[in-house]
Amino acid sequence: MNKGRIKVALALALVAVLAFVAVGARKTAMKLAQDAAQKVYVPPGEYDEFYAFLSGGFNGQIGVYGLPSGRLLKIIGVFSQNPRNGYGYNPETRPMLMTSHGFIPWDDTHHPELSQTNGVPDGRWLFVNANNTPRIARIGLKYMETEEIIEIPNSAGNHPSSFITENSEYLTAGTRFSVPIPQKDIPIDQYKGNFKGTLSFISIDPKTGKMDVAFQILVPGFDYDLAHCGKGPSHDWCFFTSYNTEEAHTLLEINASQHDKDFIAAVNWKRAEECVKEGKYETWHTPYAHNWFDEKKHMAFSEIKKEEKVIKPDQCPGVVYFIPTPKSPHGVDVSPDGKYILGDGKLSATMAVFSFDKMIKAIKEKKFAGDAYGIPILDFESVLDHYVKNVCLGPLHTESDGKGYAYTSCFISSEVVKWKWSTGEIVDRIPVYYSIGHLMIPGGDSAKPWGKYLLAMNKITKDRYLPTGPELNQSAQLIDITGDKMKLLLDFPTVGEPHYAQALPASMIKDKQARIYNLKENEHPYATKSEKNVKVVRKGHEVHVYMTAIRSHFVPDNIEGVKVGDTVYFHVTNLEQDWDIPHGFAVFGAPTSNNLIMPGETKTLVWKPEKPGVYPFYCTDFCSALHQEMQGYVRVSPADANPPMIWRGGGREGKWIVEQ
Amino acid sequence: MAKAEKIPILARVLVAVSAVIGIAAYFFPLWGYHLQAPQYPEGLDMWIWLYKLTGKVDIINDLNHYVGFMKLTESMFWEFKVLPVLTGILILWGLWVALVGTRRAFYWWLGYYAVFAVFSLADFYYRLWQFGHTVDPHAPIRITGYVPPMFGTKHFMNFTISSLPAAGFWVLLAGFVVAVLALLAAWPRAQAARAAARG
Ligand SMILES: [Cu+2]
Repeated sequence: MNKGRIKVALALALVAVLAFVAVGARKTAMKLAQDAAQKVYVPPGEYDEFYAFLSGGFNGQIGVYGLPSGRLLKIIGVFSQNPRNGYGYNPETRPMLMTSHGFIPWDDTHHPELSQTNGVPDGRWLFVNANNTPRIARIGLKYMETEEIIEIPNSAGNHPSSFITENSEYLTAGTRFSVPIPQKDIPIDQYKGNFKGTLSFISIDPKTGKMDVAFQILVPGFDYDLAHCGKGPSHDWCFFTSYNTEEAHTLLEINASQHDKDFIAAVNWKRAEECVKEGKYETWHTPYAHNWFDEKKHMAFSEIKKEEKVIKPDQCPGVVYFIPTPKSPHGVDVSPDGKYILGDGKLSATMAVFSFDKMIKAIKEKKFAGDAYGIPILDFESVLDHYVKNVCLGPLHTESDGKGYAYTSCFISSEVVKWKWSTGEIVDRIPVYYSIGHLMIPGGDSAKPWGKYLLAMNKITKDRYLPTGPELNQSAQLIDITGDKMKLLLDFPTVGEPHYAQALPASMIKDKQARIYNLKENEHPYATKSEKNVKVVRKGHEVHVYMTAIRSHFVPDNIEGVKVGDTVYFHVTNLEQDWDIPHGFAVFGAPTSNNLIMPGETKTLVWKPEKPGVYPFYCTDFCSALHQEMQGYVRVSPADANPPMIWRGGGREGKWIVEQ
Repeated sequence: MAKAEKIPILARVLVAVSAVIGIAAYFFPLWGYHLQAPQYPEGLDMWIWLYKLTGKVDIINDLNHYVGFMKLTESMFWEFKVLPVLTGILILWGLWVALVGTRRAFYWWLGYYAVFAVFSLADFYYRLWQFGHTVDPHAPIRITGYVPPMFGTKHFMNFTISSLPAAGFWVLLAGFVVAVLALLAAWPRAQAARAAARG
């Protein structure tokens, strides 16, 4: 009886304790959530601390986000058309998407990189690579628009790109998918020895940012995956990971995962410069496109270049060495002081930290373990400094916090691992949701990381947000790295598939942002800078409408005289000079996007009407209280008709100008 | 009062000071408008000078077209051509008065200053009234009888409009005050009293 009572009492006590613990745990969880919420809370009307630039992967764009809030600020069209503003649709920007294969409206953006001075992001430009049709784009950080795109000749799958040297001397490019170089028609099973890769260096003009293909190094047909360039002592070098040193051409999943070690290609770009100076290169003639946007003319231009300097390593000894690296490395990362080089071997649980000094010593002492197609392979033990043991499953990429710690993303085990650069000692780990690819710390791949936050960019989202059918957005998680323990702060979906990102303090570029284009400086050949100057000009079957837009009307807004068979060019200039007053322009039935025209800007919509009728056009941007009235009509007559050629608008009427 | 009667040195010095102060009116705006609206938390400023308009005039014009206000341009104001000349006359004449120092010249100059001040302010108010009453009858939004404030703050649609004299006005006012001080110094009774005291 007593025993029974005791049991009941004990049971009650246990329930009480459990309830107490549960309430306590819930309170603690709520407290933690509140702490995290406070750290990412940016009150309405206030600004984020960092600009973050996330690539868009298969969406071909760059997403500009604010951190720590995770707010999406802008989508910049880069290698993909952007119907929002007409980028890649209108004749002003279509040349940006020209390649040696013609006009390509899409690509796959991977690795954004900010320009650097003394190894630190300087806020001038952002670069990003296109993986599918090899290209690199330059985005100006004043207008936050794509200003230049250069195609990389003699390459395929431009993945180890666009990583920058310490003073923005060069950007890297490389061949993830080795191919016959130069291209030719050969059976695919003759891959071995016939397929090649190139490691390219794209020069950047320090004043204008203009890019050029400086030189390309012809390398064996492995898959060159990622890169990073040295800093401080390792300034003259860039490092590229490779996998598929097996040179498999089918079922790579198995056939390219046989070797215990693949290679990091260490490239001495100063040596390459010497060889170029000494004429130790071949001039090849593979065509490649070079496109740039003239911000005064509001127009892009495209040229095809046909000359590149190709360095063959056997003709330029000392330009490239291979460092054996545990199994199929993905990222290659350099410590902020430039002393350590890390290969993130994605199929190995142990990472090798190499010493730059030891590498130089091994090269001097010729500690080679053979060669691959004539390129010396350095002796692994001579270059190795220490291991990071049992780091995780699937280490992919590592960044630094500037306090001596490294943070590695682990795809298979879905976590971020914090460890000490100098010893490889693991100090913390935190789960991420799920299957992280790259991670990013503001300035985390530079000589002076700003630290504070870590952004995990995850490949699998699954149950993290409200489900949206089979296709889900990727996710990013913001982690606080200020303390000993990493803390998850925020989780937000991203546009496209960000493969990598860059961030810098907002204060560096916030006040340099352009608000308008100066109308007086508009040198677009079809600009109309005042309503007085509007006109319609017929040149044979071309009709040029010089149109203006201002709140809340277009001039002209009635156009008659267009015939089937004509090509109509609506050159619309936004006369506004006030911040954030764009006007849009769209024509019923025109098989293209709208144009979103910023104040002071001119953009053209090209339309070949196919059927007679009267077609409305209108402003697509809710610009003012009378935005709904911002509309007009264009009349299209049959090809053999003889309609009057007139226009109306702004309370005036005019006749077309007919030129021969 | 003899024709060539002179005003005391103190009054002449004050007249000279008053005239010299007036030069500053060319370097500062006379009047300032500050417009604030939900979409313009940073505000829109417009400055009226002796001879020009500065600030966000174009933006204000763009906004004004909704209610059919006239477009403000420098060329529509003859005042911008005349006011600098009138001010120049005031300054040169003042310096001349200080030099010759006759009471008659002094009074004429003072009278000119007073008329100039009253005329300018009255013209300014007329211009404001005219601005508010010359609206395009076909404007999208119809308004009647709105006059922008001359001193202080008024609300108009989504805008709060504040108008206050600016540095140039204060400079001219200071010049006028100094001129009045000169008048006190030259006041016949005061002068006579001082003369009597000196015996
Ligand atoms: Cu509009």
